[in-house]
Amino acid sequence: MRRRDFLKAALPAAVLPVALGGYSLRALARNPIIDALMPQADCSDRTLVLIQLFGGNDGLNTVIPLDQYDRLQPARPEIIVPEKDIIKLTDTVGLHSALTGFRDLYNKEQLAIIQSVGYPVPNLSHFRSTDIWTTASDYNQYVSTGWMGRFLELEYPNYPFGYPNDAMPDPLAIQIGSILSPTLDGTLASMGMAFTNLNRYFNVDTDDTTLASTRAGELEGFVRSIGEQVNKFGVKVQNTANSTTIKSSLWPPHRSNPLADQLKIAAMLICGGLKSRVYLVTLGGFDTHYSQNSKGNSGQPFTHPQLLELLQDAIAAFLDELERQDKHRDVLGMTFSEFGRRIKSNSSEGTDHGAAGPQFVFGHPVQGGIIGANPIIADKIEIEDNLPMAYDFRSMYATVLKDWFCADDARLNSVLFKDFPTLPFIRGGGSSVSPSATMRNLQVTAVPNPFISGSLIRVQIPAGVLRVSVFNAIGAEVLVLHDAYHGAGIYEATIDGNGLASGSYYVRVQSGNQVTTTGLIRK
Amino acid sequence: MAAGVEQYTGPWTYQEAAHLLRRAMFGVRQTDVAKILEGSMEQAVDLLLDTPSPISPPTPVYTDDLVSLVMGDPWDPAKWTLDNDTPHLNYVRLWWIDQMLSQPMSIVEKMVLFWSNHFATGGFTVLQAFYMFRQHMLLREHALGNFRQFAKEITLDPAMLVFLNGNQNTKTGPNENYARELQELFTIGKGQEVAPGDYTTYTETDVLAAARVLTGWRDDGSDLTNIRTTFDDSLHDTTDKQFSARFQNTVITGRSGEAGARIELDDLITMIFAQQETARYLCRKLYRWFVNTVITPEIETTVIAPLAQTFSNGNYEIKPVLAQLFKSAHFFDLSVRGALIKNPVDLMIGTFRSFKVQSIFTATLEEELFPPQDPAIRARALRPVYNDLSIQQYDLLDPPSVAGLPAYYQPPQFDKIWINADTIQKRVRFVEDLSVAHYRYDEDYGYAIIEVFEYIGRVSDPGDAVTVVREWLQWIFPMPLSQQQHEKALANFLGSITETEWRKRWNDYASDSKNVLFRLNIETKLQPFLRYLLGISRYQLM
Repeated sequence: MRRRDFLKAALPAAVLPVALGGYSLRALARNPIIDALMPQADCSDRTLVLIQLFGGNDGLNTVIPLDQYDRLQPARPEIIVPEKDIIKLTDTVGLHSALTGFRDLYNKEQLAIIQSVGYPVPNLSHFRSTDIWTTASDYNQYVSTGWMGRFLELEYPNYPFGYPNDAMPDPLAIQIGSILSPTLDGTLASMGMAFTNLNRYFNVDTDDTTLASTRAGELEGFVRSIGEQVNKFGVKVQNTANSTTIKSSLWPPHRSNPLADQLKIAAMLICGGLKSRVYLVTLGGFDTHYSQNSKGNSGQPFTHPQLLELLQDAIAAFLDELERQDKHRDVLGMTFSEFGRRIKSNSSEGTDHGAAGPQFVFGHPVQGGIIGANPIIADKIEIEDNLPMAYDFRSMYATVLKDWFCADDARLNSVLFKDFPTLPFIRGGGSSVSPSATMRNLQVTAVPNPFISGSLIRVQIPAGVLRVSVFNAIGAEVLVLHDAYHGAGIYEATIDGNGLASGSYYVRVQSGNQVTTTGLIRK
Repeated sequence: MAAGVEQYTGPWTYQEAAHLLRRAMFGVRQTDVAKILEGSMEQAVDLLLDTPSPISPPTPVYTDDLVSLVMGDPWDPAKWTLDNDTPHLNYVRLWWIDQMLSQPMSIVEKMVLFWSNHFATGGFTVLQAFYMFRQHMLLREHALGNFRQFAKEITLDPAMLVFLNGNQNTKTGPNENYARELQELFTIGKGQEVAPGDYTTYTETDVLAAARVLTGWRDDGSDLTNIRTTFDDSLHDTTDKQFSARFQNTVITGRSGEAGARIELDDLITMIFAQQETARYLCRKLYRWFVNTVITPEIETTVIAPLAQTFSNGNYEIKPVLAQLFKSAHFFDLSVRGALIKNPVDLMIGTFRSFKVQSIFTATLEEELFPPQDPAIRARALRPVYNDLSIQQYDLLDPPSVAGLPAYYQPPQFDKIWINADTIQKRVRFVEDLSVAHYRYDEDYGYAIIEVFEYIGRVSDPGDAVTVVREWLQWIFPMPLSQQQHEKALANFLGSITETEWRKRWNDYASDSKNVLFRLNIETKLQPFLRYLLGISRYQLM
């Protein structure tokens, strides 16, 4: 019996009689310990597939802002997709010419594009930025557990001890590969298991002698626990994969598309009935510092356009397989990448590490569409300039946890450490007002603009949590003007020009899940 | 209070000698332990630090995807091509594995591997085997030399110029890639970000300033027998470079010409190495590589800080720091015995070296040590070692990223990263193949297997089951085991037979070692027992 099922039965009699030691239950519910004991809505048949695009995907050559093209073109003349080749999704948003498959998904409303996802102060190191994304920490906060690890740990307390059991007969999370992502790290152990080859399985000898109380004893205990996991779950995972017949004809030939090879294993396990909640797969090679569009010269196994093709081909085959095996309603997919790349191309026909970029959510449960406005490209772009974020990446996580995995606010809060507005990309999710409704953009005015001593910001807002902040040209949040509840009406504030060096800035206004960004110039 | 860097004065027995060898080399040979136990602990450390590792020229190797080389060809750069030369990279890899397998009583091979992880360079990006080989020789040259000089030379190393885009760094378009990693990963290390762009030890300003110092250097590989670093004055930024307060607001005077640019590089390295944090950063990396990956505040104070002091006082000479570390009470403290998970090289090369491994060729039943002496067969035997290392996530000449192996930098997991459901099976399969099945290295030629008769022959009283178990446990595992663990192992060894029966079997074998039945009676006990010992979790530690 799953711990929380037990609690569901036990709670009303034991706890509900009003209060514990004078604290109301509501106050207690905000406490993570109590939160872990509270019943949650059951969405345990749902699966999430995370695709990590390692290296930092060039978002501006993936989702292209057509209304900014005239300013984008001179900033990256050697690498930009020719205007005539761009696939137009709307009058203002286009896709890279390689992404015909994404266009089809978009037309079938199985693809949501979230524009300019990032975090307030970008870090240009692959490693640190990957840490931030996988742990869902603030830019200057160091956390040793992964966001999905924390969630799964709350859902399945004590895992992997006492598992498999009736509530979870399978590994909680599966990474297809030989390395486990920090995304799945829990407090004591990873919530994930890694698999590559499911054809040959080895029973790992474990032994139960007493462990020394040294680091060696700790490490030995750790190795044993992994061996026990393999012994417990290995045969079943292998048998599940081997007993599943592939039905889609869209799968690329083995070894021609590394992502498809991984997603195929995931599909076999999902279609074979494994109850694992999360699958994690990766596609590397996005660190395109030079010759990103030309063959064989970028120092990466694939060019950027080829990578985009691998991505869409793998996803198309995966979704087709799920549909043929009637699993499509239960699976949601999401991409992430540690950062986007610079607006301006470098002198090597490539792009350097940047900040915000678009991400994709795919599958049948998705409410298709484009969330967010195009990024703004300034008239004059310096080499170090970046896109500021429109959506915090943790808003994507919050949405998945709330609208897909049915986590309540208290649990969301203990996983993500604070509140993040959710986004409308899951059909039937609590946040799913239609994108067009949320796109009735907040209208921000800034007067004067350009400015020297000060500029008056004015915006009409609905009631809710309002965050108004200023980002500089390299994509970092430098001023927070407001971050609290604000009643419906007009919000006004003056940006003091004295504290700001001359250059381009962006004012970002976030009210609930509506976001708008306006360019501003300090002379 | 755990021990610090004061010299170790405790017992000098099998356990301590094996601990030293296991950390400074790959695996433990009984003959090596006996040799260093003839002298003192200090003499053993000095021997390991002073013995060079002779470089045999790369042997002709077989790779099945070979383009311009065939098995038996001499090492001739003239035959190499600039085009896709993965086969040539494999050629270097197999040669390197061979070097490690045949290491002398020296720390050099372990340090070469350390540096290949420290100055991690992706062969897949450089895509030029001779560049990678040249860099590899630089790692060997400086393995126990001077870190400051090493940092200077690796900055201008052609493979590094390609890998981190130094060869695209110009005054009009500075490429920050190398300048960033030089500070973040290679020398001073990245501290906590206390303000946007300020990482305590350096700032974004310093990244850009260092990039400008390093403008103009280019690699020239037009002659593969003489790969060079050149300098293009027209691309060099000759203006002054202003560094941040993290470097005491140093200004590096801009200069022109190759000689001028070298002075600027000297100034940059001098500035970075004037910071005590640079000494500490490398000492932490050495500590994680050789001792234990978890550095507590106490270890930082009692071990890292004094080591770093030795390092900077000694003008960044590497040997004195290693001597102090390996002779320290801390290194021999029981708290750090077995406190590292073996990386795949330690597991594989270490296992091959710790036992007599027999090669058996299906065609002729010829027997010799692994790897075989015949160069052609030798190459076939090494190929699967490289493949297995890489599927266990140690890809020689192709680290996962410029930061090297996560096991040595990624908290909180560190070396636990080596082990997951996937890799543990590959590790167990390896020891199973080598102990009871057959480690196949070529479909047509043969396989390798541990020679258990040789290993039992080293036991002081092989007829006594308790002695066999006690001595094998001591030889195979990195820390003393409990009574319970001895009893469990003995039960496993004997299985359904008694100690008396084992004594009888051994006596039979000793009286007529050619008797097939007598041999079989011994072998069928020893092989499964060895498989059991190498398969349990403790064997993954060192």
